[in-house]
Amino acid sequence: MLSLTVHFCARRHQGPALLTLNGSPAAASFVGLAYSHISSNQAAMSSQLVWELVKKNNCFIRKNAAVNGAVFSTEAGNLANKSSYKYSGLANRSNTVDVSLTPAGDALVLSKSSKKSKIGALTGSVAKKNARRSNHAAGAVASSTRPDLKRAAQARASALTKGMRNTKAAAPAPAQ
Amino acid sequence: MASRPLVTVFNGGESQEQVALPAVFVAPIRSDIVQSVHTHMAKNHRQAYAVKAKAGHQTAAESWGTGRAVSRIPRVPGGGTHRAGQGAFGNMCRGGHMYAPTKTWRRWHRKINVGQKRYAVVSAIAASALPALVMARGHRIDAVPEIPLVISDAAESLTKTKAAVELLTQIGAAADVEKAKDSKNLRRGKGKMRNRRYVQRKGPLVIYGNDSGISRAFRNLPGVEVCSVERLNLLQLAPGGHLGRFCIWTKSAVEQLDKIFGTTEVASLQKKGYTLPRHMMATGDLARLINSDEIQSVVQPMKVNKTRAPLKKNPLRNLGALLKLNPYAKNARRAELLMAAKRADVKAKRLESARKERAGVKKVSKAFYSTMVTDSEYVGEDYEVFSSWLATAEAPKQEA
Repeated sequence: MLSLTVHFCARRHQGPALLTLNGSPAAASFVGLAYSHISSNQAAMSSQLVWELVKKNNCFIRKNAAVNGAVFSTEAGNLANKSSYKYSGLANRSNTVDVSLTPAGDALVLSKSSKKSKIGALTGSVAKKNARRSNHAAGAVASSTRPDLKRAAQARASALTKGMRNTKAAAPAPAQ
Repeated sequence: MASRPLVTVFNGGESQEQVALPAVFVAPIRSDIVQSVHTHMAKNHRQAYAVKAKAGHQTAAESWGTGRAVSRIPRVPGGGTHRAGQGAFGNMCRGGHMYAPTKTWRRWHRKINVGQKRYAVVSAIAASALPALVMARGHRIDAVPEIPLVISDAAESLTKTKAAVELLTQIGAAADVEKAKDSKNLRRGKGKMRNRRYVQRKGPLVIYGNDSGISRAFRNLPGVEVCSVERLNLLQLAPGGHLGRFCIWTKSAVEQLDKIFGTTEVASLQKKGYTLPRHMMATGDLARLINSDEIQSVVQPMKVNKTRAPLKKNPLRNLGALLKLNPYAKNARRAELLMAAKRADVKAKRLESARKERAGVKKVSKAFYSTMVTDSEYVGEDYEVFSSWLATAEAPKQEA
C-alpha cells in the first residue's frame, strides 16, 4: 500500500533544473531494486517512502489546535519547523540543511547532511561572523545542497540573529 | 543484481569487520499491517475479569405491580428490617446489579493470521534499519555510528550491568537509555491504582543470538529490553504499533536472520514455506524514477515563454475591441453623437419658445381674471334690484 501511495512531490525540489535531483545525475540506473530504500549509501533511501511513514505521526510533530490546527515539527534539519515533505528533516535526512544556535545562543551553527555519516548526521560549523554575513553564509550553505531551501535558510538565520541581537542588547544592562 | 550492502560490526567503539545485510532489513514496510497486528496482539495477554454473576440478584425481590402508588421495580420482601420494601435488581437501585454486568466470556483474544504476523514482524525489522524512522519514534541515536547497529559477539558473554553500560556508551546508545531513565514518571489516571503506577519510554532493544550472560547484563537497565533473535516479538519491535524501535544486534543474531526469515528467493529454515514479501514497486525512490533516462526521454520538454491566449473581449461592450473589428464604427459613433447633440439643441430651442408662448397666455388670462373679479364687486344704485332679482341671501332680510 505505502509503496503505491508515494506521491510525485519530488519535483518541487527541482526548481528550474528538471533533469537532476538531489545533485545526483539523471542517469541513475535501476540496479539493486530490493535495496532501493536502504544501502550503505543513505542517499539511496527513498525520502518519499519515509515521509509517507512519518507524516501522520512522529515524535517531533506538534499539532497545535490553538493556531487554527497548524501542524509544526521540531526535528533538526527542518528550517521552517513545519510538518511538510519539503521541510521535513526526517524524510530528507540525507539531504537537508540546518540552521540553529550554539548552546550558549551567541552564534549560528550552519550544518548540512553529512555524506560520510551512515545515519545521515547533520554536520557543520559555527558561523563566527557578524549577523549580516552569517545570514548570507546560511543561504550559501543551503544553495550548495538544497537550492529550494535557500530562502528558508536565510529567513531562519535572520530570525535567529535578530533574537541574538535582542539578547545581547538586553544582557549588559547594569544591575542597580 | 547489485552486491548486497554490508553492515559494520562494532567491537566496543571500534569497527572491526563487516557482515552482509540480511534480506529482512529491506523487506517492505507496511505500517498499516504493523498497527493492526499490534492492536490484536496486545489483546492476547489479557485475563478474563467480570463482576460476580450473582451480584445484585441475591434476594427474592418481586415487583408489587401497579396500584400501590410506587414504581414497578422489584422490591425486597418481608418486614422488620430496613431492607424490606426497597427496590432491588435494577442498575438504578442501591444494592442492585451494574448496568450490563461484565461477563467472563467476553471476546478477550484475537486470532491473527500467521502470514500477517510475519509480515508485521519483518516490516518492523526493516523499519528499525532506517535512521529516520528510528528517530521519528523518539530514540536518541545521534551518537550511533550506523543503523542497523551490530555489535560483536563478545557482548553476549557480558555478565555485569556495569560492563553493559560501558558498551552502550562506547557505541553511542547511552543517550537513549538515559532518555528512558529520565522519562520515568507517575502514570496519569486510574492505572496508578491498578498496578501500573509508572510510565517510562522504551530504550534500545538488545537482540542476541546466544545468551552467555547478555540478557542478565542488560535487563536491569531502564527502558532496555533484551530478546533472542529466535523469539522476536512485534510488541517489542514496534511498541505501541509505532515503527522504528532502536535495535542493537549482536553479530550472531544478525547472521541468523536470513535463516529465520529467509529471503525473497530462499525459503526460511524455521517457518515452513515462508519467503519474504516483495516490494510492490521496484523502486520507491520517486526522485530516481523521475530523473531516470526512461522517464526523461519521453516527457515533454518544459514549456518556456509560453504565450497565453488573449482574453476575449466583447466588441459590443468594449469600444477598442469594436474598433478593431469595424474601423468605421468610430465615425459612425461620432456622427451619432453629433447628431444627438444637434437634436438636443433643437429640442431645447423648441421647448424654450413653447415655454415663452405659454408664459404670454398665462399673463393674458391672469389679467382677464382680475378684471372680472373687479367687475363683480358692483355695489352701485342698481344693486338692490339685482340682488332681489337674484334672490341672494340679503334680500329677504331687507323685506322683513
